[in-house]
Amino acid sequence: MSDIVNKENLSDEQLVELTLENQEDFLYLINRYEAKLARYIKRIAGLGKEDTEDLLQEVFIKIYQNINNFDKDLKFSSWAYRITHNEVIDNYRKKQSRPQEMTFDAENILNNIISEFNISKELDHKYLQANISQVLNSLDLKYREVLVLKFLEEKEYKEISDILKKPMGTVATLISRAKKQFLQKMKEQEIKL
Amino acid sequence: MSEKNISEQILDKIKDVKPKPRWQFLLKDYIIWLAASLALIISSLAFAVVLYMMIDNDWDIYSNISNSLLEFVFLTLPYFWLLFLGAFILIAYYYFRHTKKGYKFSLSKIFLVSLAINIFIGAFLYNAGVGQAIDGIVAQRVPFYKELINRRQHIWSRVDDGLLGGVVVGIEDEHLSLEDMEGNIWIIQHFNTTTPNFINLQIGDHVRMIGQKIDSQNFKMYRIMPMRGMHWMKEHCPVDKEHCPFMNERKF
Repeated sequence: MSDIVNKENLSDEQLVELTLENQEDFLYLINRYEAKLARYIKRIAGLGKEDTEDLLQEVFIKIYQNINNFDKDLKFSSWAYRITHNEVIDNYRKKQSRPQEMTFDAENILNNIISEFNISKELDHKYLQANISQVLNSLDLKYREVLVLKFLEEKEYKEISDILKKPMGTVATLISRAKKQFLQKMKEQEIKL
Repeated sequence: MSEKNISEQILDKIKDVKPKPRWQFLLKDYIIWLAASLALIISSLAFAVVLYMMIDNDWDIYSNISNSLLEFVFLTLPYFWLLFLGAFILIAYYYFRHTKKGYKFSLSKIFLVSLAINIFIGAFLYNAGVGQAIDGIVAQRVPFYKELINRRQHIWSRVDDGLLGGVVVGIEDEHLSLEDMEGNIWIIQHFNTTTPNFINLQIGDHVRMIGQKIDSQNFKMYRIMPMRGMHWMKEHCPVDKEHCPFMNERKF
């Protein structure tokens, strides 16, 4: 019991080392990232529950297979998100279909977006909640992805750079363009700011 | 399906899976670095040829060849080698971008660093005579190189425009004999017997002449200069090859 508690308190990097010695210890990493990665898959790929779980399994198998390639200069979370991102893109290419309509935890995104996009706080939250998912769904995948990482996953620029494997300057440009497209789509869909 | 079930399912699935060994990833990294370095070295070689073709050019008499300096530059720019250089800078960028940390650097940064390395190594290779050697080897082995890529031979075959290049095959008091790059023999009438280039002239010298075509065998020479660049012309030496010297020739 105390061993389990101890291992749960270990850092990701320490758990990676343990996993290399004992496969069973991979369970701690799975438990730590299962919910986060499942939520990320849902947010960017908009898959149903079963498809999300299938993809999540693929992601963890990939993480395990490539665990010797984990770069200790990175955060483990950035590396895990990167593999997830790649799997989602691969899945998207294989199926050759656009991500499905997805629902976002609108309260969370709403608070972030209100502060980031200078939207009046006096606007009806329910009204915005109802429309923001619709706007996000209509964005290009590359823009939706950076907005999800920045405002929903609340990642730093450096982490986004490590996840998407793009220079920090490019990430900043993508976020700026994503914001512009977001505001433009809101206007097009006649959503009042 | 509960979350616990997913964890168990994943563990079940990886039971027979082993992590890929570290050496595979290291090998892949080394191969990518090797490819990036090779591309950079090849682009530096191309830069050395560009330098050679630009420096050992007819800058001294560009106004006799073209109407303006700009026209001369466009006429003699080594387009093929510049494209080759650009292509290998792009290939180096592609591989560098695929190294572990390559994604952290922007295109402009990688491009500028590549260019700086090209200038540094390329200048060194040019000084060592590698640019000249590559131009010579490619000219001998690649068909159409002289017609399409290093077109300076074409410039010095414009006899109707008063530009004639070739090898001195005879020196008499009143005239010279010159074999041009197509093997035709010209009788050269000359007047300027006091210039060092003329006084020191020897049989076997590769020269450029500015003058006037009189007929299909006779040419009136106003100015004579040693040949620059086009060292592959040495292969075309109707006399003893040891006696076909070149201006700026680098020995290896």
